[in-house]
Amino acid sequence: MAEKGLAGIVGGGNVLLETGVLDGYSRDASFLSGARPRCVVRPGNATEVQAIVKWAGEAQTPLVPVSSGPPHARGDTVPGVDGAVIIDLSRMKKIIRIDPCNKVAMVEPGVTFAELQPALAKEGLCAYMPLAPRAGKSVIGSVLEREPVTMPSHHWDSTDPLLCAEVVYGTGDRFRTGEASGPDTVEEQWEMGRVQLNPFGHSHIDFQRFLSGAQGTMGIVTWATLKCCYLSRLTRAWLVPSEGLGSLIDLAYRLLRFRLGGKLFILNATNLACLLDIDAADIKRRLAVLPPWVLFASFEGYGTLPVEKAAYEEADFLRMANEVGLSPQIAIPGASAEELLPLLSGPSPEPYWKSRARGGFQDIFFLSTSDRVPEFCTIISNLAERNRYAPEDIGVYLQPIVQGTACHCEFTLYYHPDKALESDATRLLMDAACEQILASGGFFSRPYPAWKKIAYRRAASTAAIQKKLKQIFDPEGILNPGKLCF
Amino acid sequence: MKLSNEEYKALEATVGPEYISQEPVIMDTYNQVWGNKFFFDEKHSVRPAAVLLPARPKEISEAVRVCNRYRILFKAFSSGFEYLSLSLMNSKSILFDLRRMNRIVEIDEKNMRAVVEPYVSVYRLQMEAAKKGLFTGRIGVGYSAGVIAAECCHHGCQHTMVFTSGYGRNVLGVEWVLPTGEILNVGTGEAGSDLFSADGPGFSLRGVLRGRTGANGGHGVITKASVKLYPWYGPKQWDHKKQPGEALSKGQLESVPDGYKVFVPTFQNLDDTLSASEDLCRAEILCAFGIAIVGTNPYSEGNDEDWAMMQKTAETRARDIDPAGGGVSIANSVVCVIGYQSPGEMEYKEKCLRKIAEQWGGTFYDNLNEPRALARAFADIMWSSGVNLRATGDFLPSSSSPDGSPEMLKRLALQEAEIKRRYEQAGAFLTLGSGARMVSWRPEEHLSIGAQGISTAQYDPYDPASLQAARKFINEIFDPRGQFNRYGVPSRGGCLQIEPVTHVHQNWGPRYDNYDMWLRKIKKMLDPNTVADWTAYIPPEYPDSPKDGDYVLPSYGKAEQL
Repeated sequence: MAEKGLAGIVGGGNVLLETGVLDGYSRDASFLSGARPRCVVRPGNATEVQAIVKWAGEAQTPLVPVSSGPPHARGDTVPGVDGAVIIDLSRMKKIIRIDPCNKVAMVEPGVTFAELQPALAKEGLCAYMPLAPRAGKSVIGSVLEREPVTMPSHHWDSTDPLLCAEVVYGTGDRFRTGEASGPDTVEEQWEMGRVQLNPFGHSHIDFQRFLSGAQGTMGIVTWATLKCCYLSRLTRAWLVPSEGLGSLIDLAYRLLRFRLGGKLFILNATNLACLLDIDAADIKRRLAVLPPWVLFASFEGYGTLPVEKAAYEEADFLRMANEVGLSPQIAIPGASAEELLPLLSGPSPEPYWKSRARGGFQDIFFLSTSDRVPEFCTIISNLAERNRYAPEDIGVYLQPIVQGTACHCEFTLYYHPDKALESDATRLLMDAACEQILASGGFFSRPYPAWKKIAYRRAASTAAIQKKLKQIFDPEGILNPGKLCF
Repeated sequence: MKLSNEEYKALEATVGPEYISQEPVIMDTYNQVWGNKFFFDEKHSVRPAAVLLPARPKEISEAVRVCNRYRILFKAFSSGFEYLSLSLMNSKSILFDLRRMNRIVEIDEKNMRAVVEPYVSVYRLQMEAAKKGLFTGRIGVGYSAGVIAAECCHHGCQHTMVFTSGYGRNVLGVEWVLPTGEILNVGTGEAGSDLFSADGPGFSLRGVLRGRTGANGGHGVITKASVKLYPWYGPKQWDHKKQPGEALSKGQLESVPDGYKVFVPTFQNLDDTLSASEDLCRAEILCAFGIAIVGTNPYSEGNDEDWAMMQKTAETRARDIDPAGGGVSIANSVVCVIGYQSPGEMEYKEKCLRKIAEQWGGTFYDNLNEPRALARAFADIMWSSGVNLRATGDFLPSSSSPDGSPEMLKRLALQEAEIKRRYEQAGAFLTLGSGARMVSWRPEEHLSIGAQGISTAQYDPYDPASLQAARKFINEIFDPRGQFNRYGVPSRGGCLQIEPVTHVHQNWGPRYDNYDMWLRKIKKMLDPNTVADWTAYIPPEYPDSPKDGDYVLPSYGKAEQL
């Protein structure tokens, strides 16, 4: 019956009921188990999304918005309750507009980085890239999840690069955030120079902040405008090897203090090897020669004097590295900057880089300040030993964010999913690590199901307000129930 | 309306008898700010029933609970620049004067943030941050603006936003006494960590904290905030000294501090000026930027001297700039500040700036680029002197004041200027220059999120004709049936939005995706007893005010119930 109602909105061909499809949505690569959805509905436009949300409100049927393709790994797209409908936004694939002058792209939720990057490049732009996302990752999904981007100097605010968005709230109301609201269609706004650029408001509220980090619980975004960067006309890329993490963090602080550089992040050898190689045996061989830690920094030439821009930044970087006793290299044993650079401009080549070493992986990520990251590395390493998990098998990715005021700290536990002992050790380590991270001051800003209870343990007042806001924007609680604190 | 003895005693118990007053002479010092005449027809806005000087969030929390018990309105006050921070719906209201909460709690040099209490001014934080090589953004209301007021509570734009952003995007943590009296720490603060992120877990309550503007007192009291800092390229200390020919009360820099350079190119026409401005801002080389500002003027001692100087500026500045009489307008000059930490950075930025200026035909006139003029421009643009009030005693800030692309802001500004010109020609407003077309916007984050349109009209609030003209002018712009209905809601929660007077939400909300409906629900959620003053936020329900069609007419004047 319900399926008939949905078919009336999107057409019968866009309501999926096959067992295999539904089973696919009932779990992901996380350790969590979820409920099997009753069907998958695939809207093609915002009007259909709105109609589905209104239908769900009347039918009291939970909706789980999904914009990225599989494989999913964080549990946020697995229904938390029985009888849910997956609202799969991957058909909404329009790159609606690219404005090269104002460096803005307007896209629908089904657009992936592989689709957006070439379109932007034609206009002399590039996207704010996370680190080698999986091929099917939705750009809007990534942005709404506050996935860290690799260009911290350009990352002014945690919501970047999100500008404006159109959203369908749980009430069924359609709303445009920031500058995009108003009496006109977006096309009419373009005619008068309004390009959905300014994210503030409207008025006293920043509505887009209720969508970012919400895991689809507050509304379904049907398009968003995103900040873009100039496409570099020449890039100078460097690797800085180090036996220890502290000096690399010092260097990152120095660069970010003056907003120098384009891409900037730190990886340990395990993660770097996984990024660079496809085959598990090659990863192992490379790992044997890589230094324990590597900072990657690029200096982008664009604008009026691209050569001079890259040159002065590079010269200052080399001086700063020297001041902290580091020696940047174009190539280090086991890796070169030239080899890594192309991997940072688009999605990960298949298979996804975190799946290559052992097939399975579990991420733990949280926020800290960069200076505290070595403590967390020690904590995780000690916990790994206690949980019979080899510390050297843990991938570490450190991404300064918000112009260096904080750091996204990500530990990846690689394991063979088909080996029960490894899986168990990974699961135990993950649980213990989350507890210890919280106790040590790590902040789970993005509370995915694996650690949401831990994250909210010290956020009772925040949760109370979030629940009240949820009541305003989704009073029937139909949007992705069971996530966050709902 | 006085508080009852019981009500007063209950409030007194929260802060102690030393730190509460209801003496009329004291109360009147809290309701005299600029703008009152425009909105309320009087020098004074509504007089509060009492003022409390709390020292701790707990005291505020307890007092707010008393307000809930007795249905007393409250509002917090720190630097108290304008009417938004002092307007009250009725006189059964109290103000929290936060001057005892004046600590810079922490400056974290590495992680580039400062944690401050409400009475810390932007300039005071700047002086302390500079010792660690850091800088805080400011808004254009003078040195004494509060950091928390600017970042968390009110609207305000600034020339440094090209580099330091603003409008709440620098907030990394807040401690917040909600209208119920509960104390909320957002983000890492509640988790017990350092205040380095205000987002989460999950979606961010910064969305409630503020949008383009803050709640202007409408949703509680911010008692502590962590704000992002930016690099300061200059010395750890500097001196403001009286300079020859300048007022004693206003010290000035002798020169642009080391680590910075200032350039003032002038272009031939408005289009070239704006095109060059866009290129300069997008080049990511600027620490501060101003279009058509006259910050290179010396400061005057008093308002009358300021008036005289402005008149002189209007008449002679163009001739001074270009003695050859090339028809140059001050409207086509821009002030650019670059900072550098290395000779290579300085060379690159200066070369880039000069090339862009050259591409658009810019000229660096000597009298705008001599060392003292540049030092004045630096101080004005980096720290803000807040001189807009001086010439006439009042001004209309950013009358329509949207944010967006430079192209949109240009169209809007020119349309608005056409209207303003009528009033200028009638002698109601101060006129700058010979009527050259002027457009000014303030870039945000190297223009990557657009810019804020800025226009001001300086009028004399005690000249009835000028005051009447100011209101007529605003009525033309704020009427959503007029030519500005597609550019965004005027004021957007700041500037001239005193809701019981200008009815901005009521008139514009339905046209702008009903944002006001969501805002009202949020207000009700936070403040179920409506005790946080809403005059510059949103009313619990719209009053039944006189209308022209569906347009709610402005309600200038003051009454107990406005």
